[in-house]
Amino acid sequence: MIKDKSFINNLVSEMKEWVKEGLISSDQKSRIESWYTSVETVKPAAPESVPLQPKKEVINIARVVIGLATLCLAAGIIIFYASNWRKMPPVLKLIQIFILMFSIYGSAFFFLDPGRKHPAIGSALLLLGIISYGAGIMLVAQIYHISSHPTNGVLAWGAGALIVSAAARDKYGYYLSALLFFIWNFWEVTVFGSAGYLYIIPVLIIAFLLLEVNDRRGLTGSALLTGWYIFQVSLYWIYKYADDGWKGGLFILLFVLAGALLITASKFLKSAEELRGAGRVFRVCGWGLWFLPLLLSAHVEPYSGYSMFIWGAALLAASFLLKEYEGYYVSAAIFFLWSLTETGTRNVFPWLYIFPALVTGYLFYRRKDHRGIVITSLAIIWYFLLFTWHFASKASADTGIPDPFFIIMLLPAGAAMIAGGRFMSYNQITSSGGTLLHSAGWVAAVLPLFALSWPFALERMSSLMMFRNSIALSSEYLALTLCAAVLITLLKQKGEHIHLSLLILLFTAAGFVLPMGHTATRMVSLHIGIVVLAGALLYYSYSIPEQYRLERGIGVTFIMAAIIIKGTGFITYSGIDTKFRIAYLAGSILFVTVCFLLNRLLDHIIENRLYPARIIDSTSAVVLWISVYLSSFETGEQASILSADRIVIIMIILFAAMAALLYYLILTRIKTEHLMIYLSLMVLTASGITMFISGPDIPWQLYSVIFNLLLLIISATYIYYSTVIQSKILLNAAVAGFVIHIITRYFDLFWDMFSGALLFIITGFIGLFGGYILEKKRKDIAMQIEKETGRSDIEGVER
Amino acid sequence: MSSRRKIIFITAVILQAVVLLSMIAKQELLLKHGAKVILKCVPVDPRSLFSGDYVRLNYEISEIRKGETESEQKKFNDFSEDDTIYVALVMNKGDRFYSIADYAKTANELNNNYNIILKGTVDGAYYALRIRYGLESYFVPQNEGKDIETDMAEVSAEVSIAEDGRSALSRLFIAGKEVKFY
Repeated sequence: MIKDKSFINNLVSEMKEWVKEGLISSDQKSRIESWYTSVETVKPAAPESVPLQPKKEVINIARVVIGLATLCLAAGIIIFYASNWRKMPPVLKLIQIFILMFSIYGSAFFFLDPGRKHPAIGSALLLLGIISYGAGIMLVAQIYHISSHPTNGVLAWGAGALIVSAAARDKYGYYLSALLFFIWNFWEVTVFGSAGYLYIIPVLIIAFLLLEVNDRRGLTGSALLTGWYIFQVSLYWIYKYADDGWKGGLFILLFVLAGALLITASKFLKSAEELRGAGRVFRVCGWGLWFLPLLLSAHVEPYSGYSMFIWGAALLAASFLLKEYEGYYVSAAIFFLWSLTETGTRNVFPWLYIFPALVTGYLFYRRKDHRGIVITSLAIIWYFLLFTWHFASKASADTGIPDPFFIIMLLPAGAAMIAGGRFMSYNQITSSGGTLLHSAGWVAAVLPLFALSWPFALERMSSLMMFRNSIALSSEYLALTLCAAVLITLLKQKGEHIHLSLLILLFTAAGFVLPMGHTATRMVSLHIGIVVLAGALLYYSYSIPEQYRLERGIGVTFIMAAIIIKGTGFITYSGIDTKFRIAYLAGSILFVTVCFLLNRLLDHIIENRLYPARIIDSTSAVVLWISVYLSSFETGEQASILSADRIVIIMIILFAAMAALLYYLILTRIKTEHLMIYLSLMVLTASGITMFISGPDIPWQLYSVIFNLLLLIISATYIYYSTVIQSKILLNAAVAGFVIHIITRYFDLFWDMFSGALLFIITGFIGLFGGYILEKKRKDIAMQIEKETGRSDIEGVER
Repeated sequence: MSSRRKIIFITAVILQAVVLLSMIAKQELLLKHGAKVILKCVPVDPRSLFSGDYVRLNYEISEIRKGETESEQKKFNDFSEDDTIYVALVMNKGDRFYSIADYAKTANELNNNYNIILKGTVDGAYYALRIRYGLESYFVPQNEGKDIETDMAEVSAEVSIAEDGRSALSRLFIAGKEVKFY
């Protein structure tokens, strides 16, 4: 709506005509009138916009021209004298400048008289007067070749400008003086290296004078200059006086205090209209001072880390008192930095860190700050890591146990974090932090299972229950376990489903009691752990999805990670320890088979269509294929599996038993088609037998024949199965596998047995031809499937 | 403008004039009453010689080398950057130029033995003391510094020195001939 008064007046007079002409009724006229006038009375056009309006409205062309002319004249005067005009003797020049100065000031005096109504010309002349005074100073310096300390000339110029402007009460004069003082100060500080303490005096005087004329912009500018002054002096002090002793700490306190004062001042200033901008500038400057100790970091670290702690604490206190809540985040970050330098550069455990973490946590909670609680959760996880890392490296140095082994400490931490995180999700404020802890807890609980389930030699490590490796770590383990147990009990009372938490707690207890340094114990327990946890995670999370939303993703990731990590591990070992190549690859087949069977069983039991059985199936199929494929190559002499470490036999028996149990359950309980189950049984049996018969006297061709045959059977079965379940992706993958198989065979036989290998060459050609025919056929089948289903993305078809 | 402000305004303008006059008076008195010495200029890197509208002058006395004896070296090492330095000038035997006979931190240490004492500031103290006297710039009309620049080996300057060590540049000579622009 237009609020312009003249418009409304025009409208009202115009409407009289409209009524006369019969365009609108007189009732309508009065309604329109009251519409405009009522708004006018209700909203008398926001008070602050009233003084603004004339400024915005009137672009006075005369003022613009005067302004530009002043600029031109000022430049002209300065350049004229700077050019050192040679036609005139110095005396004449001096006389001339005096005449110029007096005449300009005289006219300014004339026009500045309020009776004259020419304030703009008056201001312009005043500025030109000041410029001519400066030109005079430059001229004298030029004539007498004065070159030492040229800043004094600028100071004299600024002072003269300020006095004459104050006499005329002219704000443009104040601006020019402020500029001159700034140049003087900047020159002194940067070129002559002085501290520039005195600069604040002209700044304050100018600010006071601007306050007198109520100039809002000028006051904001003065605040900026004050901020610059504070910054300049602070930098000077840091450069000159700060060191890494108590002085560094004192400086930090000083900066935080000064910042707090500025912020307090900004709050006062904000209440006055013309000082609002200045207030904003002060607030930014205050915050700048709070960050200034960053520049001190070179002085305070590494031998006096406490200064950083002082910084964080002072900042926290200041932000609490001033209600500058963003300060909480900053001080949390500073405390984090402090803990980092303590551990990183001084190798000290920053045990104090827990206090700021808890205090900031409490403050965040009081503020109902979700993000803050997430930060606190991270801080607590960080504290745990710092503690554990510190004592683990100590224990490692004392006992010789490699420190990565202490990753087992993550197990109780995971249990406590999972339970704690769930507990936190009951409260609205802490729920985000809870989710973080909960997820991190699962990662922590799962990591040791993967990291430690390998046959390292760790005989020096005793059970944690014996407190022999490290009293601190054993106590920590126990305390975390107890904490988890208490939290789980509380969750139970709240009616939570706690089976998964209990399982992790059980693992934790086992980790404390069992001698984890003993390879067989560790391998057996952790592998059972992996299989049981994978099964339990997937089963519970998909059977009770509303309770375990987070665990679903974790369960799927976990089993996939298990297949990939363990599979890769086996394959890597088969490349390193070539004497047991076949045994390792068969081991991989065995492990993958168990995961595959577990997945089949779960798919049957869980009545949830979201359960991603197919992804797990495919991963298992790929790892299985790779293991068989790698076994099909020429191999050096193998050692008998019976001569391997006892642990190998134990693991084989363990997994064979698991596989047997799973086969039994699947074949008796599930009545649908069993093609893939039988395929896996066949591959497993064949590779198992090969593993046991392999030994020093067996020619490698035997393994090669068996595994090549298996590979062919696998590919053929996959291809057939793809038509059963109508999966184009499986078909493509299986044919790709088959082609890779044929091509490799052709080449490795060709290269390795060049002499007397005609038979193989011919077989190779036949194989290639067969592959080509099959490829053509595959395309036909694929097209057929496409036709039948009427779309190309067959992979989405139901199982 | 109120009458009080008018008075302030007029006073302010007069004050500015006084500042200018005092600057002029100070220099004039120095030039008139100061001891006249002639200093030999030494060539400096010709590329940075002439900048803008003044010639940068470098004097023989702008540099003090470290002495051989232990006491000389101790005196030398006493000085660091931004220190005030007083040098005692005596006329050379062979020519009319002046050079440094001694130097010290205060004028009093030199007063008894020497008549002409020049005040300066240490600009750098490494292998030699670099001294700035405030006599290093000679302002010339635009584009007229070239001659001086090319003949720098022949350039000398007349300087007025007050009793307290303050100095002012009065005349410039090229090969003994005064440089005049008007």
